[in-house]
Amino acid sequence: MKRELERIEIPGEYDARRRSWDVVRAAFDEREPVTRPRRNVRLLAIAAAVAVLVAAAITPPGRSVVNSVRRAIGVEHAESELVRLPASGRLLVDSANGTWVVHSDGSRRLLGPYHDPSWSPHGLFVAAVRDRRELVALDPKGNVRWVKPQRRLVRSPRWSYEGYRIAYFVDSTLHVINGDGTGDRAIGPADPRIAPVWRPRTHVVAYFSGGRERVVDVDTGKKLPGQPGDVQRAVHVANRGARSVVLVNRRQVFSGAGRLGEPALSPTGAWLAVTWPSADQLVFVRVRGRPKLLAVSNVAHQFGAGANVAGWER
Amino acid sequence: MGERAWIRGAQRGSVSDLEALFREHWPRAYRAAFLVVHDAAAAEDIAQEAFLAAVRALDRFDRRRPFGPWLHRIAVNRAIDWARASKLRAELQQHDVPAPEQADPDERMLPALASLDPDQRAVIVLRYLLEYTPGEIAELLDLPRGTVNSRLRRGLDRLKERLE
Repeated sequence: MKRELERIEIPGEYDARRRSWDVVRAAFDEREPVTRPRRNVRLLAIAAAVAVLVAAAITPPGRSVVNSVRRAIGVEHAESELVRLPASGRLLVDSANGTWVVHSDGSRRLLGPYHDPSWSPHGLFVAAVRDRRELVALDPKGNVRWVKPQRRLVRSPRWSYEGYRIAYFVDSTLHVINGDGTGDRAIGPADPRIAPVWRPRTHVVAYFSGGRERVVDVDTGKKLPGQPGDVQRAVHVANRGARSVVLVNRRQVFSGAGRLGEPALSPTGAWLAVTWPSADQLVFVRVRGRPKLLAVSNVAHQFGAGANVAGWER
Repeated sequence: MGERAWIRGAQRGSVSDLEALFREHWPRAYRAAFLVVHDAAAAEDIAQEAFLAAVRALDRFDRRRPFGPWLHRIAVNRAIDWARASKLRAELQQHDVPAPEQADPDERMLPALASLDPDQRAVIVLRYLLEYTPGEIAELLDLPRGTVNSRLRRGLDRLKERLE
């Protein structure tokens, strides 16, 4: 069998080899040598991993993933490069370098100097902030579809369930704009530190203002009473002293020392991705079925400082 | 001079050591990718991308770990993804192409392989071309060992049918 597989003639193999070597050689010449992690950073990562194991071992939900944690978390077992996602879909990553789209095979594209991005519901577009004062809609290849400039700081664009509306903040005011960039209007004063949340399958958005939760139908302007879960997402990070925990429907699925980024669920809801800055890792947690945990290190090198998962779409 | 020394040399910037790694590993990665995707251009892209990933990760590569399995894991997983996507797009129409009568055994193997699912092709290639054990294949593809064994069994049975 081996002999037969080796004897199969592949057309153009010699030329393919020559071309590939030219490309690999060019990439090698252009690479920037990376300094080895400083010892204190490594110690911090190890200490953080130990903290996770201790935290996980003492809570029932955590205990279920502790064996996976033992195998996967830590400098030794984390993959050094993100070569594929554990589930289908595309990951949106925000970092100091800009917005990245990561495909399931691990290939990634830097869309450009955009920040605070979010996927449209079907992953056809990305809404993001450019130059701090522009709301931009672009496709996943980086082609800008429209730009809405504002005079003040723009933050936290979030698409409605079918992509017809985008809620976002201009300074301390909640705005809504149509998905095609038309019909921008101010809704009311808001606390821009907490991103707006759309109520599923409606044009009703929840946000904070004056320390209270507000809910409004953006098409009619009618104020509505709040409902449980309007502002608190089903998947979120909670700070517990020196640690952070990821909760899925109030079930703890992961705990890490220091602060964690915002988590994002895979399109099927089976996996969750979250960045762990103090360990310089991107962590994938299987939250449906048999618990499993995977980690990729060197996230800052791969994406830029402050990398954060901003969404995981089809 | 062994693989570890080549990796160490490449990490220090030696082009000749990188070239030694390329010579040692690219042909097998390329062949493995081709046997899974059955498309020379795609195999070239896949093997090249795998090596580019290696170059990007070179400074952080743990020299105690073997280079080949790491590279093959990237190449074969990407090849599986490509083949699945290609199958979905109905671009790979070779499945129903019968092996030519009286063909040389070498010429019959490729269409016979094409009759397998991408997942079966991948385990056959990893087992018989790259000579990984079923346990190692399970680790490379993140599959249960039983799944690897059943894919191998079904793949071999199908190959046997096509080659007889």
